[in-house]
Amino acid sequence: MKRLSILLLLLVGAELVGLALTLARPKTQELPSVDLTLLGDQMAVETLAKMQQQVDRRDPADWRQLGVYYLTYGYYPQAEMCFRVAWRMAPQDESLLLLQAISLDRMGNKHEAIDHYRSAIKRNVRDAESYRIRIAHCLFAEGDDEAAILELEKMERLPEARLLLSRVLIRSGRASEAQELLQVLLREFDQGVEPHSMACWAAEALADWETAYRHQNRALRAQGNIVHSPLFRQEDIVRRQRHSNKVFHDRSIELEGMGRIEEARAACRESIRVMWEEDMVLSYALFEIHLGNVPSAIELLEGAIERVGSSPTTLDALGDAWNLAGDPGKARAAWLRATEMHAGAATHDKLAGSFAKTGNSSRAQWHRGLADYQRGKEAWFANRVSESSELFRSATLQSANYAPGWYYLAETYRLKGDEAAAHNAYQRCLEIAPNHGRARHAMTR
Amino acid sequence: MCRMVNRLIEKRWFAVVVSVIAVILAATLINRGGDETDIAVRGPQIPIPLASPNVRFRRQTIGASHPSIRITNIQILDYDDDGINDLIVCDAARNSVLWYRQAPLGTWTEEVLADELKAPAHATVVDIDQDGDQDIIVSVLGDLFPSDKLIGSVVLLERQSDGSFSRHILLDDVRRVADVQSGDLDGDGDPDLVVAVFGYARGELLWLENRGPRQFRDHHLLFRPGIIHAPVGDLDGDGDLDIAVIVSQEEEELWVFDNQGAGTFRRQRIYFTNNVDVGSAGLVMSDLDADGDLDLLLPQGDNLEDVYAWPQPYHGCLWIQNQGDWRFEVQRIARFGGAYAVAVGDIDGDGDNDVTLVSMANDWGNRKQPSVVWLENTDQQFKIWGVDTDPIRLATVACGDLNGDGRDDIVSGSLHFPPLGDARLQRITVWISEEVER
Repeated sequence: MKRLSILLLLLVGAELVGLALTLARPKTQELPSVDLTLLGDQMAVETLAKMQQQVDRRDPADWRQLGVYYLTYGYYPQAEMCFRVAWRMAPQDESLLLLQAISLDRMGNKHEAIDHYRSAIKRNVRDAESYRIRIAHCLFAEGDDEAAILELEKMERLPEARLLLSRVLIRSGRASEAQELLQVLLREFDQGVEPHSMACWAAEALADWETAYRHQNRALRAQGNIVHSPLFRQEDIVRRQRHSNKVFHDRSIELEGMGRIEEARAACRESIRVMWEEDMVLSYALFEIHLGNVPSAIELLEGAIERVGSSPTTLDALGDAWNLAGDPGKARAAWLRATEMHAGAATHDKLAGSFAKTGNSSRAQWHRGLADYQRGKEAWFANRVSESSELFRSATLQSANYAPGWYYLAETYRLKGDEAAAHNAYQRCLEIAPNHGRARHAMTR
Repeated sequence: MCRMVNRLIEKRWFAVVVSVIAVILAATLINRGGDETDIAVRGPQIPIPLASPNVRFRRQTIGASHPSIRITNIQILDYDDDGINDLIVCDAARNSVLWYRQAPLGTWTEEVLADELKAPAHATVVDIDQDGDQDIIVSVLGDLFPSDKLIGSVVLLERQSDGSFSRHILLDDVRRVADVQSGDLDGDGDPDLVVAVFGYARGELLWLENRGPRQFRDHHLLFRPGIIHAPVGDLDGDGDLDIAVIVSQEEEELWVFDNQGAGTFRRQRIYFTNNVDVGSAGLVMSDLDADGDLDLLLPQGDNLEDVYAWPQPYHGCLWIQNQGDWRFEVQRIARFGGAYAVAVGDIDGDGDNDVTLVSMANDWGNRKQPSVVWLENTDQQFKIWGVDTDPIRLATVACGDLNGDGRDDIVSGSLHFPPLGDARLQRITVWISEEVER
């Protein structure tokens, strides 16, 4: 008994010491583990690793900051955990509610996300009101369409809410009500793709085919968008750019603007080291061309083509490089490959110039026409109808056997109300391409 | 003092008291330690069993490695008609359509059927000119990444008698083309084409009327963005070919086009969701329940609008069961995060149709998260089983017998783009299905 009692006393002593030490030590929360191999940008990896090392686990601001970065790079459960820890330490920081809501939303825990969004809105957290639309989205995701519609109706002044509501109304047999909502939107966003598309579908639902066709047509010549990424996604993008190869790319553009080309090239090279991207390689090759290192540019561009396939932009630059290297044949070959991949007006201009130098005036004229056609389409899709009409007219004069040029010229005449000229141009299109469905359709309307 | 302590130690009750104190202290210590980890990362929402008791899979990779991995489509078919299944692959990193010829069984050889096709999304094998050989119609996106420009095209690779291909553009001046399917839509005896123009904010569905050698007239059927797939089949059993279409890009609608003859169609929206985040990812036509009519399978889980996408509880697969007379019943048969593609095949060799799904965006930090699953069909009740956890970021899947044992196997390909990491990716992976011996 004596030996046992001594042992027990020793144990109690040891435990008392342990308890004292534990009580003396401040409580610390373990950091969540993340798999950084999922990231391709080395700078992002380094940023997160450094942040994890430096975080003061007693400081809610550090937990918040770490959470924000986890959120930025797609580690949503880890982000949510960080915000929960920070919230426990600093319940007065109400912005943490919103951050938790965003994390939960991204993780698919829509119900909890809705609760958190609502709490944040109730407490007038900065920007929280702009997240109301996410409540509606979460409710739709939960299958509670009725509640989502109620939520959207509260936000009718928001264009995005009106657009969402219009879609719901069209699908639920209330297209006339949707049209009323859309009238307001169309007045405010006549250049928007979505209101015209939605107006087309509302008219279709009401079997008003003429109105539907008019809005469809207009949607094709629109450019703006009403629906933007949620605020947190926009902030994520900015944050990512601050810690990515984009930093070096932006720096190289800045340096280029200052005429410091060699430094700009070095920044661009650094950007590629951080993460290989075709656009960055293209910029680097263009610097090489600028600095007269043409063989290096060719090697870079051919390497990019080997790695991710050719594109109109890489082929266009490759043509430039071969041209500077004194091989116009290879330059033309590259530019022609680019045009087969829908390269823009600039490539056709280069081909026109190159063919003119060889004395091939007919091909030069053909490409001049196609350059005007490309410019015409740019103007057409930006709804600059008169400008596009002039360019298509020029295109059809120079590339008279190019059917799409006649089709778009006809479309511009139609919009300007010149039915006879439109008819003639559609007719010319069909003479060259008898199976051009859109021209045929337009002729029969 | 020492004597007093000695006396106490010898008492039985003292030992009991000290024991109780020790236990209380130990519990306090343990509890105190637990405070440090009481806030934990939330675990995966829907754990999927990693192996079924009846089927096991043997993984193998096919084809050489490449610095960039962007496989957009894989199909299993016997392209050279030698009785052994081959693979037809669209590779957007090499801008190529590739034929992985299997001859003899287990030996694969790559042949480039066509290159310089900017981001091919799909290759449809069909004897378009009815000269007895297999031509290929390629759906060309023009850019893998979001774009509303008119950069898409439909390209015919017309097989010549010497085995080479002559290339013809059948459709141009359109936005990004995601799918082309063939069938005699106007009943005149030659194959026509259905074209899914994905675009971005604007897209459309067209059908191309075959009007003789390499002559196709385009007809507009639907104005919607993000049309991914447009499978063709006789949905109402009236002997002509109808069309089904999945619309994504926040519209999330499923349309069917009832062939009325002579190139006219009556359209009907048979499913939609107001959940714009659902991410419809494709559409497959198959008689899943083997009742003699064609059903539709709709994978949902494409949430790549944000590069760091995450699995959602509403991701998975819907079975749109054909009830006849243009009535369809929609039921969810799987919950699977980031579901990006679906294929039908008899994976367990029991004579019915099972389903395979692959995932593009998922919780890849969790090494137990399957990237490929199969749904075991037991009297139209579907049980989900993991096939494998690697490779990840899979965009396409096909089922078919690749080793000649009569059981359907699985093939899939990864699709990578920056700024995502490229670890655990593989261009083409095959999973050979085998029975578990007991």
